[in-house]
Amino acid sequence: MNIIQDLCFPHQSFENSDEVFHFIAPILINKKFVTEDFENQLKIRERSNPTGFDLEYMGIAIPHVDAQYVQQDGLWIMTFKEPCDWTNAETNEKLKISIIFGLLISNPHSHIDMLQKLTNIFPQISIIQELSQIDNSSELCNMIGKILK
Amino acid sequence: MKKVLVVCGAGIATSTVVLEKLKTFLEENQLTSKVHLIQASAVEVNNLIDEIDFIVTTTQLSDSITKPIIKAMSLLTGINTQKFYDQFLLNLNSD
Repeated sequence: MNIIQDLCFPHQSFENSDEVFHFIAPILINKKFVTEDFENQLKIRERSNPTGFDLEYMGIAIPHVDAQYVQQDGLWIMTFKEPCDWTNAETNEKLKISIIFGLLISNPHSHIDMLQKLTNIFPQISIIQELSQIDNSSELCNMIGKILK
Repeated sequence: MKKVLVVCGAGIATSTVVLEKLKTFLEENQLTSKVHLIQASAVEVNNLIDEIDFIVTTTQLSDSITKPIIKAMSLLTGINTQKFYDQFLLNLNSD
């Protein structure tokens, strides 16, 4: 999967998942990654099955929707100036997150490799912290690209 | 043979990761022939509940589910995974 710089958003100022979804949906729809209903689907999905994970040193989120709403595989990345409000998948409690890995999966059986590489970096504090501190999209894109090679 | 349901919200992303980790774990411990893994989304659980012995999940499930549920978020985060595997083995070996 190619990581594209247009989908890397470092140092954003959104406060919660609704704001993030409202921002990212038109961009992904425009680029034909997802269907028109994407923003709504993200919200529905997040309410019933939250995607926040507490890595102890930091919170992360992996928002995604059912494959039927995705037209093209991809990954969008977002980091924040101040941690953003999300919900913990395990406890349903509020969780502050510092980085989002937005999964775009059009086929339930594809990208096991990418997913595994991604989850393999979660316990690696230094990598995740470094990613969350990058302030330009080109560097963020490059680093993610290296991780997922 | 025990039948284990591996569940996540959409049935595509986190359950896939957990499934692969479980397969590796079973192979390493020569348990592959003892366990049948079935992948599903959260909404499919009720349809499959009668066929399975216990559930492994990365998402919240309804309180009304009558089979044992093991939370598998640690397999995604890599934090405290031993606790998960201990619970898994416990459920595997129980009657």
